[in-house]
Amino acid sequence: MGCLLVRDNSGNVVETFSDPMINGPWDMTDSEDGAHLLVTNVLNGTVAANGAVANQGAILRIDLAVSRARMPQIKSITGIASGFSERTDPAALVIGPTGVGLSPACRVEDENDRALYVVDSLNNRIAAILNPLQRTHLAGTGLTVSTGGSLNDPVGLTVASEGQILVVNGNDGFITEITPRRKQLAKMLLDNTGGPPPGNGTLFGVTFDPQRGVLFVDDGSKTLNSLN
Amino acid sequence: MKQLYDFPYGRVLQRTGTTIMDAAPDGSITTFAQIDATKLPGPCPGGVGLTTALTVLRTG
Repeated sequence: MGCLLVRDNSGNVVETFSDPMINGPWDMTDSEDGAHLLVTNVLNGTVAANGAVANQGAILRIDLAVSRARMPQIKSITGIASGFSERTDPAALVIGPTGVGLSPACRVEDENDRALYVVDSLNNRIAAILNPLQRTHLAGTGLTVSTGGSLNDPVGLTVASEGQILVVNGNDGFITEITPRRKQLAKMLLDNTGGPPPGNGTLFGVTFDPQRGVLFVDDGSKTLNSLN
Repeated sequence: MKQLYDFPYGRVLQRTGTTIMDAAPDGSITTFAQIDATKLPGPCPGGVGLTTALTVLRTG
């Protein structure tokens, strides 16, 4: 169910990627060379579970053929992680593995030591899938990078240029900074409206821009904001 | 913390939107894409409803 829409520089849809393995694509990131897409899936068994938790959330790597001469083409699709908790939700439609972000390489041109960070919302944890760009077998639900603490239904995730993991919560208005060494370093309240608790249901999309800092949308105030 | 843009719309749930906005570094905001599910160049089982599965390829 669902697909990836490929748009040109003008926003026109020029291609669709659909495949039985793509089922409820919920969040995505890519390798800097554009050769790999890393996608969370949240609809494997979710609707059939009828509100109960289904542990079938999956992460796919879609390897692409890219060139300046032609549109991107799928070369292969590989499941790299599975077993993430997911369920339907009256407010959010589906809760499951959402935010994803790729760690920087520790050594230039060495992709083997990278990690894909994944928000495991229902288990209140951040997972790491090791070697996500080359691995050929499933990593389960990955290694736990962080759990509990300031995390409160984490939903959005981005990785800053120095490798810090930035996570926004669904159940309150906090953003948490986590070091690559798995330490929750700081938290900040981005939205104090509504609730309780303040900011409940307001945060979701977040990304990092080296020039503008952390950019995030606030569903409560319907705004786009920056945080340096 | 700085507000860059105030969206003049009601709240839109994940997997229900069809519009992508372009927030430029100069502060301007424009509509980048408005998806028409009836005019897709290929299959999209179940129809169109955007999520945060969004990225920009530098090549291709």
